[in-house]
Parts: sequence; C-alpha cells; structure tokens
Amino acid sequence: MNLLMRTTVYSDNFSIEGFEPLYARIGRGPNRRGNFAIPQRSSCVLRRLLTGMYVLNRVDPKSRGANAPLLWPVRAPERIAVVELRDEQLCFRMRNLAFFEEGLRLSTIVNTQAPWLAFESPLITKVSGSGRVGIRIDGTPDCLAADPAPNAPHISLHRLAAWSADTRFGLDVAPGYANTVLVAPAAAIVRSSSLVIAGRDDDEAVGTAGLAMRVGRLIIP
Amino acid sequence: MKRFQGIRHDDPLRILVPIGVPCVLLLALGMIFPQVVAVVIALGVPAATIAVAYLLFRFVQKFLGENRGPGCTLDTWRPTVLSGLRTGCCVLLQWAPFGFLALLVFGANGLIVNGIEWLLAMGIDELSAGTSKGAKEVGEYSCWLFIFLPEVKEALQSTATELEGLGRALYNLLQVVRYIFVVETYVSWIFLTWLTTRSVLYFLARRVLVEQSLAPDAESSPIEIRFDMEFTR
Repeated sequence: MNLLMRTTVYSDNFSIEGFEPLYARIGRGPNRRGNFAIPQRSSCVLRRLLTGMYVLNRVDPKSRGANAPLLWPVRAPERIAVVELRDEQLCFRMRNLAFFEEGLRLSTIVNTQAPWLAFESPLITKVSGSGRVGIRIDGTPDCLAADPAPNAPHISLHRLAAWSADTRFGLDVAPGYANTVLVAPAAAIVRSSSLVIAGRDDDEAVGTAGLAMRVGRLIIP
Repeated sequence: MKRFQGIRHDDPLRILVPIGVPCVLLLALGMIFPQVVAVVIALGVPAATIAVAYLLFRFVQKFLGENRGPGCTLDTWRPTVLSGLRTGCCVLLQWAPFGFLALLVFGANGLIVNGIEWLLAMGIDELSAGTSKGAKEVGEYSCWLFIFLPEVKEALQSTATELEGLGRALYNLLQVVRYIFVVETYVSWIFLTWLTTRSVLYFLARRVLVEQSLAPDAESSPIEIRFDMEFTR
C-alpha cells in the first residue's frame, strides 16, 4: 500500500521544485529550449528508439534559481501520475513515460510466460531505484493496490500504464470460438500488487474491440 | 510447485554468443569479399528462421512442462476428435488470411525472380549486344557536314557512349531488383513462420486460460503472470 500512498495524480500544472534533475520526453516538460541528453544509452534501446525516447530533455529544477517556481505543464485531458520509488521497481509502458529522475535506472524484463506472450510483448520496460517517475495518462487514471482477494479487479490489458514488479496478474479472455478466431482482447485480473496505474475508461467489456484492432493484435502483440 | 518465470539469466548469452559471433565474423568477411554476403543471406536467413521457430517452440514446451497444475492444458484438456478438429480449424482460420497472403507473396516473388533471371540470361545479352552495336554505328558515323558542324559530331559520340552504358545500367538495375525480391521472399517466409507460431501460441494460451477458469480452485491456480524476473537488461 505504501507505493500507492506515494503516488500523486496531477490534473493541473504542478511544481517540480525540489525534484532531482530529471529526464523528460522531448517536447514535454518545462524546458522546451532543449538540453538534449542520452541517459543510459544501452538501456531499453529498441523500445526507446521506437517511441522516440532515446534522446531526452534534461531538466534541472535547481538551475533556475528561486525566482520562479518551475512548473510541469499538464494539458487536459492528460494527467500525470508521479510515483516516488524507494528502492522499488515499477514496470511501465514506454509510451506512457513522461519523465524520470536522474537516479533511477531503466531496464528491460523478458517475460516469456505463454499467456502473457500471447497477448503482450515479452519485453517489458522497468524503472528501479530511488526517485520519482512521471506516468502520462489520458483521462483520470485508476491507481489501485490489491491484496489477494476473491473479488480481484479486472483491467483491460491495453489500458495498463504502469504496475509494480511485485504484481501478480491473472488473465481473462471472453469465451466462444468467434472470440478465439478473432483475437479477443484480454483483461488482467489484479491478484496482488503494490500499485497498478491504468486508464479509467474501462467500461468496455472483455471481448469487444474493432476488427482492425483484433487483426492487428494477431500480428503484433 | 516450480513455475516458469521466463528464461534463466544465462540463457540469452548461450543463445546470442554462438549466433552473434559467427554473424559478426561473416559480416566482416562480407565487407572484404562481397560474394560472401550472398552466401550468408542464402544460408543464414533460413538457418536463423529455423532457430527462432525452434526457440519459440522450446519456450512453449517448457511452459507446458513446468505448469502442470490445476487448470493447465496438459492435465485437464482431453481433446476429442471433434474438439481437436475445431482447434485445428480455429488455428487455421487465424492463420489463413495472412498465411495465404504470405504464401502468395512468396510464390509471386519466386516467379518474378525467375523471370528476371531469364531476362538477364536471355534478353539482356541481346539488348546489350544491340546497344553496343548501335553505339558503335553511331560513334563511327561520319559525314562531310561534321567539318562545318563539329558540335553534331561530339553530340553523336557522347550518345554512343551513353548507349554503350545503357545495356550495362539496365543489367545492373535488374540485378538490384532481383536482389530486392530475393530479400522480400525471405521476409515473407519469416512473417509466415511468425504468424504460424503466433496463431498456435494464442490458441494455446487461450485454452490454458479457459481451462484455468473452469478449474474448481481457479483462485489458487498457479498460472499467474509475474514480473520479478531475474533477467534484466
């Protein structure tokens, strides 16, 4: 539960005074002039290249002086969930990453469990260490922590933005041969976790998705 | 119960070093002797495809072997002839739209490559001979008018040179087109292998999940997706 308590969701501009120097996605964050850097150049190379996160913008909140507070801009409907890690590990989708502090370490997990491999990529990006990491979500996110319980929450896999490395997911797919042939989307059952961050728009039932999306899912997990 | 938690930390090196080191050496050799590149592509790509398909198969096999708990496919799924047929049809239906497309591209590429090879062997030689002959005739053409118009003579000679080069340029162009189609053939082959593996994998995972949900103690089922893998990069 501690990790959940150390998670703050911002819907408006927020001050990053007191943050360590951080690496932000280019075009986002307060420093638009560009102080380009390639941190941890051998970490998550492929995923970072594909999502345009290889070269990042280094923002140092301390370099501005105390005259004006340095704000991180948040544009609606976007929200930024800031998670403070204390020697913990957080898995996330690279496209959702907004920034991470300099002391954190990016790495990749290889998960070849067949149910996961069938619906998702085996390569999962992870950030570990002590510091703050910003996760970008469209709309108000669901931040939850779950202990082993009979009524575990269901979240569509594609809405998952970040989850702690101690998470245990079960997977659920809609029954029926039509859903088998036309690759039905899967939902994650959060069996236990310190933190799961997901997009809130989770109303769609498991098994409903556009044909193009299903066809695409068969080719690219 | 022992669970499958991803590949062991030393597995990637075991796989990558025997494949990677010869690849780098062959690449270096190919930069010195360009002919080696063709041999590497001809032998290496099919070998790599088979190796990747084999590794994927081993992963699935390992998963099935180590997850023999309640709700797992091997223990609870006893397919009858009818359900086996339905399974096969489902995999085939998933595979069919892209699998047949990949096969068509594969076949069409083969036809195009053969056609180009025939052109290179038969037609282009004659064309080259024709252009060379024409170039020679144009280059050697002389007329009393050239005394007064030397520019015309120069223009004719440069045209002759261009004609001579035309045959060679066309030959090289067709070689490049042929090479592109050969590469595309391999790409469609890799796509076909991937798609077949993906269809089987998806159906297999789906069976596991369905059986898991039908198991009496579904809540305590051992199949949980974990993220505390040892191997990180």
